[in-house]
Amino acid sequence: MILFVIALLLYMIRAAHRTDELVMKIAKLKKQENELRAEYIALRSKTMRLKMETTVMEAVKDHGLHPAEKPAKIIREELVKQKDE
Amino acid sequence: MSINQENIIKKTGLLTVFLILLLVIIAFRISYIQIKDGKKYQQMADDIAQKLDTIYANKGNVYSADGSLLATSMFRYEIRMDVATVDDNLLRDSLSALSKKLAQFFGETPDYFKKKIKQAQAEKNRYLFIARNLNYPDYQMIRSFPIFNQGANKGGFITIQNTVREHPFGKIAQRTIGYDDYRGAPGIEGAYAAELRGKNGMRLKQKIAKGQWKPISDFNEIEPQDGKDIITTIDVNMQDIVHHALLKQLLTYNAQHGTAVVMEVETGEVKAIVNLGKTKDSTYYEDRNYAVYEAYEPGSTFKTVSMLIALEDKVIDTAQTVDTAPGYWNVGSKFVRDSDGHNYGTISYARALELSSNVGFAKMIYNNYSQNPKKFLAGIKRIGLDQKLDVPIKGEGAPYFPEPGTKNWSGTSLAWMSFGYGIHVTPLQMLTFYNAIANNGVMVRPKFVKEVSYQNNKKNAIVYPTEIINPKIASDETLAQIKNMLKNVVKKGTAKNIYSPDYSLAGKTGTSKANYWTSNPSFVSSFTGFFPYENPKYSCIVVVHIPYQTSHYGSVVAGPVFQRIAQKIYATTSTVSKVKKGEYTYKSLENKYSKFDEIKKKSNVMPNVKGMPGMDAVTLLENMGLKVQYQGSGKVLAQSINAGTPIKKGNAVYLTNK
Repeated sequence: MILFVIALLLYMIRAAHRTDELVMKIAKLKKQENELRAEYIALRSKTMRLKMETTVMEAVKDHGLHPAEKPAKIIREELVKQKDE
Repeated sequence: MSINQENIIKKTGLLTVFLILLLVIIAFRISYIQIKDGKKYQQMADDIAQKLDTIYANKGNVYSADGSLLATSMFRYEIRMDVATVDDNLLRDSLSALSKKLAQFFGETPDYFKKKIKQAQAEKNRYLFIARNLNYPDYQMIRSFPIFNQGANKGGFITIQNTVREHPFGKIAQRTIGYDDYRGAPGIEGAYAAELRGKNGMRLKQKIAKGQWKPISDFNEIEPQDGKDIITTIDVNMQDIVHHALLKQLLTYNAQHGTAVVMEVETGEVKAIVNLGKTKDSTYYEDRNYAVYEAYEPGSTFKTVSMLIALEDKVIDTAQTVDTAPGYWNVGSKFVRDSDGHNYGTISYARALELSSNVGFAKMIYNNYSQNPKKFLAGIKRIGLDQKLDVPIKGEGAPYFPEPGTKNWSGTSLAWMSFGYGIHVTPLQMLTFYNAIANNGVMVRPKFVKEVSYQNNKKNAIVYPTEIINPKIASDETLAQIKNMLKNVVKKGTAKNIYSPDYSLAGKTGTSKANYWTSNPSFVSSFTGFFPYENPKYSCIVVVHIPYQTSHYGSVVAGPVFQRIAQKIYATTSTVSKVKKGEYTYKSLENKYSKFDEIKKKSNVMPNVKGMPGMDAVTLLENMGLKVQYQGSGKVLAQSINAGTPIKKGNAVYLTNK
């Protein structure tokens, strides 16, 4: 009986410590999450700006490239099958 | 001896009594504290080790229509240095390296940082400022520098995190996206502040080691509610185009400020909204939301409204003529003048709009409404132009039209009103009117926000429908006539400089004077219209305020921005044409091919080409490197080298054909 109570007590202490550990871990992960988020947003802003048309236009200007004045004409193939036999 | 014993017993007894008494007092005191002040002290203990912690709600993001982030919350970093913590040896060895790196990063000289840190060392500075407002990659970069990479305890590296609202696109549409802080609440961020913010929660926590707090119970005392995401109607690519097209014109004309808005005709979705004002150093940035707030005298773009009302009231028809000679007309004590002293002579009302004749319009409206000016004002009210649009963005300018019979009304009011003077509307209100013309008369409210959605539950989004302000601003007949005239403005009227045979624009130029009573007067050049004419998809307004100078006409200043936008949309709308690709399987043809291929493989032996078509034989043999001469043109009858004979490149062969 006493042993059981002691076991329970030990378990309780263990559980309390485990909670503390988890709280620390959560805090650490939370910090990491925020940092990754900050990194993600910083990089995303950069890529978003890079892909904007005016940025691209400026980048390729020296190569003599510029946006098309006229729309692209897309030619799509349609398959026709014929046999002689 | 006995006396001594007795004495000891006596003393022991006394001591015992004293100790018991002491115990009783302590016990009494404990019970007293426990019972009387127990609650107070328990509370004090709890206060130290427990707290009601705020769980901050995550603020929502603002997105563009295509899912790009327009505003979000993120960390920014401030870096400071605890110079006193850093080991003297480490500082001596690595200071140069650190200074060099910092100098490279911030664009200063290494000496600057070296001096700064050395001075801090002498002063035992534990909080030396290095940089603030760094984004994460920059922060990480600095953290990797010498000394700093030793961390907080050895390297004295101190980080302070701040949550800031970030606009990943920077200046683009900044004013419309807005913010919500101590400076105020403009733009979408301001309008939807409550939705974005969410509600903070509360949770009871207990203090544990390392300055951390752990939750006491399994539930939150108050559950936090994350802010919602706002999905706007802004199209980032279009915004980019419009931004740079407007900026270019502003720079060219040294403008004071300008605005350009592109709206989708059917839904009223604002695809792009640019507001640029000039700074002291002559650069431009989004300082105010001119499109929404600035009520201005629209000038000639208002003539379309006058025309629409006159046609609806059936007081004129477009073929009717008006004499605009000699280019001015006397109303009351003032003269209405056509621009640049033009004398257009006798023209139709339709042509008066195309040429933007002030005299033509003053006569049209004054002669038909001067007996009952309220009828003309009723026309404006019928359309709904006298009302604010009630857009969610704060600070919308109120339209202004003087009322007949009030002190604001004079004998010249009506005539001048006909060509857009003495009245005020905002660019967005004017655009809404033109959009209605393009949208078969249905006037829709400009829409900035498509939907408001939960951060992790996109399904339950609140989708904003298109709101109709006026289901029909005019009859189909009138609308068709107006559209046709607006097309002709670009084709052969005041805006023919932006005409292109590739894409059909329709719209109206406008020029008016603003602040003419001040020392800083300006011309307001504008262009409003829609495209493509046949099946309008977008409407657009461009308003540019420029100082007095030679070129101030709407067509020249604002028109090109409009054209650029239309051209861009035209150029990105590709056409698809289908062609037929055959997959033919003819056995007879295949047999011939296989024979040809078979012969081709043996390239060092003369093949038998007898019976082959002459041209095939020539091709085959020439490909093998032989020099072929032949007679006739039909099938091969004879070959000068017999089949099976080894051959070399350059050998000559004669063929006799039928």
